[in-house]
Amino acid sequence: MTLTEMTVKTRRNLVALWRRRFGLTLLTVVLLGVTLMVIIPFVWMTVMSLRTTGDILRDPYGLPSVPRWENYIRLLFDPQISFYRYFINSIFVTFFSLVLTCILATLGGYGFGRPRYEFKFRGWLFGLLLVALMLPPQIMYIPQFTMMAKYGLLNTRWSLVLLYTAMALPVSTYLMATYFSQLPGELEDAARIDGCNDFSMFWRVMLPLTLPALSTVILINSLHFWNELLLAVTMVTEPTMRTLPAAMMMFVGEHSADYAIGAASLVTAMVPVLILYLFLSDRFIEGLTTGALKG
Amino acid sequence: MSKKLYLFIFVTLALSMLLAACQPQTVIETVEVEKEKLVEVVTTVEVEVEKLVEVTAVPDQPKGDKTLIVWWSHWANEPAKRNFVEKVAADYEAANPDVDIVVTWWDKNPLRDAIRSTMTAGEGAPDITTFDTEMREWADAGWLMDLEDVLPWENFGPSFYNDGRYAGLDGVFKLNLSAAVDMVLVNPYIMEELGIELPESRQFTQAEFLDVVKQCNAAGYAGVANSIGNRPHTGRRVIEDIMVPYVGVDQFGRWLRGEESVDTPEFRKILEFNVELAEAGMYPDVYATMGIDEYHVYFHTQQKACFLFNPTWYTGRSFKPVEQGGQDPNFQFKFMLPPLIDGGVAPNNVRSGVESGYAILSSTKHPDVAKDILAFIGQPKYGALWTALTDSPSAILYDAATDWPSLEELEALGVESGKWDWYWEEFNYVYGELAELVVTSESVGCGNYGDAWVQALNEGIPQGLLTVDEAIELLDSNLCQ
Amino acid sequence: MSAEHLTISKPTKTTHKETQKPWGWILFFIAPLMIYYLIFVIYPVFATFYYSLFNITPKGGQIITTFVGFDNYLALLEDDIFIKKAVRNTLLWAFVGPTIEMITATTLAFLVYFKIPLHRFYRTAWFLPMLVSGVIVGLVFRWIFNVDWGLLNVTLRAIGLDQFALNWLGRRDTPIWVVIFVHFWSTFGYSFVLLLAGLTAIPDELLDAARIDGCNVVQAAWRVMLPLLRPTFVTVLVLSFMGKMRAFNVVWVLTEGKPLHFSETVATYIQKRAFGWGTLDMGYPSAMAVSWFLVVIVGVTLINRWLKRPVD
Repeated sequence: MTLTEMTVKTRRNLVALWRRRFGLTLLTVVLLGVTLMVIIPFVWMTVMSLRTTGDILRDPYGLPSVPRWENYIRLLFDPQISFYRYFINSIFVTFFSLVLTCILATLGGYGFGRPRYEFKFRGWLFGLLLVALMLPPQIMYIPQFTMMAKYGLLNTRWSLVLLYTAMALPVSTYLMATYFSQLPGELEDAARIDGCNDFSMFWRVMLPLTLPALSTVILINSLHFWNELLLAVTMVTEPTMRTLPAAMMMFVGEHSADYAIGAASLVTAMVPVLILYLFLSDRFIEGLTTGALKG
Repeated sequence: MSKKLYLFIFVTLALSMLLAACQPQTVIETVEVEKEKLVEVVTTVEVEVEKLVEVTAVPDQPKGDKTLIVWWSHWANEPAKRNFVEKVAADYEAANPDVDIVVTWWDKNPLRDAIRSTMTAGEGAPDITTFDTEMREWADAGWLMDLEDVLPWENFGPSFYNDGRYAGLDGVFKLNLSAAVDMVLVNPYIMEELGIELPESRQFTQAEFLDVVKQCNAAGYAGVANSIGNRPHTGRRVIEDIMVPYVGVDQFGRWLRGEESVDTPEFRKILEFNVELAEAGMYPDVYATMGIDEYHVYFHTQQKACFLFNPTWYTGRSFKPVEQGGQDPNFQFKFMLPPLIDGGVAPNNVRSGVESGYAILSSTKHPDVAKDILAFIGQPKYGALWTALTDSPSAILYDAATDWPSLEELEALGVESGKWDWYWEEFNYVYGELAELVVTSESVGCGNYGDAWVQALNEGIPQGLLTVDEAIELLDSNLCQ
Repeated sequence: MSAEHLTISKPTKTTHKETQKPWGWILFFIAPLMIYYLIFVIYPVFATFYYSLFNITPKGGQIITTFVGFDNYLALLEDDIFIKKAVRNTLLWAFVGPTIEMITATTLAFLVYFKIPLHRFYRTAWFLPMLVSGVIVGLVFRWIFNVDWGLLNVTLRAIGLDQFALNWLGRRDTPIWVVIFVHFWSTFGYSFVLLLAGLTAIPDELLDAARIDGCNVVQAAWRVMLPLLRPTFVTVLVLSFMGKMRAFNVVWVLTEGKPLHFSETVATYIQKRAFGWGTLDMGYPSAMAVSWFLVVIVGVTLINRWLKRPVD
């Protein structure tokens, strides 16, 4: 039962009804306006990517007479551009960062979340971990850069894997710890009677129960990893090792007069996320919401 | 049981993680060590580099025992210059089969950032890189190799030897390929439309130029196409080029390098004239955001501006296929000398600056090979090839009769001969006969002065964001000591 | 968000059957995480602070490191670009940005909460920009704010508002507002969704009670729901505030701090000084980063102090 139904019930006279309809229409117009403001850049970008630069210069807002898919083909497979490489890099970095994050965050979350492992400075340590949520990345990246240089990791995708994981750990551990702490202690007791040790208790009993939290962790982090720019341009200078956002920025810089293919590069980088979003929009929203409100 | 297998894998992973995690504890110890080193004031880069060679040796030698030379070059978007560099690299490889050259193409800004970070880190830098004289800090930092005894300097004009040197530093650091000349391009079709005739001397006076800009603006054209979307020098070039004939190149150089106060009547007059021009509609509306490639198109294809102040590297971005943003060969523009402010001392002086060149980074593992490559480029025949391919003057002297590449050779490289003859005719007339080319060093002064110069002349005055007084104060407060 | 939010259950009821703590297992679970964190986060933070006390410049093939104490911090106070442009802009943004974002997002959240038509569609659509990389957002809006053929000016001219078709990215005053707007564009949907989740969590009984008391929709929203939304509101505000204080991608791609540093923010200025400045010094940008971190901490603490009631 919502409040709108309620008002309709309590004020059943025509004037109010008319006013309500008028108000609602006005509201819908305004809200659709907001929606347009959000959507138009995407539409415009996509349309541009299917035209030629010559066309765009003549009329920035025309529609393509024939969609030019060549832009995309050239972007991805032209040997001088080879955008597909950056997809591979981004997938590599995202995947391995996720694996590392999940391992560390579930182990840590279990250790921080379960009462069995309480010790004197645990809360204090956990607080230390959470302080990182407030750190601007700029405060870390100069030493991180020298560190990567010292160990010969600069210009490798692993440098990004290591640093992305570090960036993701506080929130991820927090989410996992919260979730683990809500699981009933009886589970542990029962498992212990069956002769499980701590690790198999974690691995076989507890971890399968935390799949919802784990999927949230994966979702939030993969989005951040996929879109990250600052570390990506700082740690990786070798052109073939770039991730998508870095490559995109460089590419549009190099081809600043070629709007069509520039737009195509933007759309290409966006498409994987958008497809996932179309199918999983509720999971996305829910995941990012719990991530923020609990973290 | 598969579960046991999983368990096993997981435990192994976790243990190796633990082990790996223990190791970095030594990192924290070495940090202490490093701190002590820092206090001791000096940490040598060389030592670090040697260490890193061991670490990265494996990926660096993928092709058996070939020496790998990594070459980072600007000009990603200039096919003719890519053509040249790739041809030279291929020639060198053919002559030296044990060397493998890998050229990577960049836009200039990210390239600079990358050189800076890799050199700071002491790892990941290429052997040969694009280098501009204005990056004096690279030379100061000791990142560049001295080319004094490397290049065949007798093949170069004297100014190109001086261009790679800095006061207070020993050594020459730059190989120049291009002998850039600052040109003023004019769109003759618009002039015709407005009924303006180009003067015999190809030079407008102060009042005439202002009037032309006003007429252009009234007809819906910008005065110049120059814009600053992605370069710190493309807008200020207009002011700088006007400065040279007025005060002469030496005075201009002292101002550019921040050696002398700019609070003089002359400098003030130049800025005031430029303020007048700006108010008359000299600059495009899109000045702030239009990038270097875009403003070329703005001039030659969209034809929305009367003039373009641009050095000879205009051809790199324009003499290429139209669908890649190049110009129609039938768009036959004309050249001018920069307008002369009343009382100018050097009317026909035109700045002959320098374009990006190449340098060897001190971190290279194969200095001899890298030096050999640059010396290899310094041959007269490559000077001729440069001009033939890129349609821009060469820093390497050559004899057109003997060194010019054969027609077959050029055809093999995709050059259509005769296509740009009109350009060269016009160029030779204006910058060969009318103008006297004077050499400047492009090095902008020290520390914050470089930024102040860019802020004042590239952004402030043209966009009306700074008054003349504010601009002069900004510059004077950042002068080099 | 901070240690204050900790909701980890304390072992108050659980009785430890073993008096001996399972130290081995505690180490096994917690040590990898904490060691990793120590190396890649804690150490860099302290190192940055340490660097900030030095002047670190490569010179003649060596890295010359000179101890300068707090000179870098003092120099910051005299750096006009830092104080008058970067800090000013960032503080303006950190104040204005969250304000308009909270007002818009709260209003929209209430509207959608009361199940107006198409509410699911709105939610899905508005959230979209959040998923897109700041690089894409920056580049697209560079085109949209293009003075000549950008979407905004073309629209303005089409409806006869030529005098408002400004040179958005080339003036003294507008660029920072463009940055603020674009960042708002890309994040308001997120704040909106968070607030909506907060609203949904409010029990229905309270609304029924309000109805019995004779409240209409607006009164119910204002008097009953807004106060209950407070904890979520504060969290979202803190998130929004921190987001503005550390935003880098959008500004870097959209304006790079231009023109004349008029849209410079602290994040972009640190990047410039650290990786693209004529002086090559690493100590000064470190000092900038450290001071900025302190400002962020103070900001977050103040928001929490002022807006969070002690008992709720």
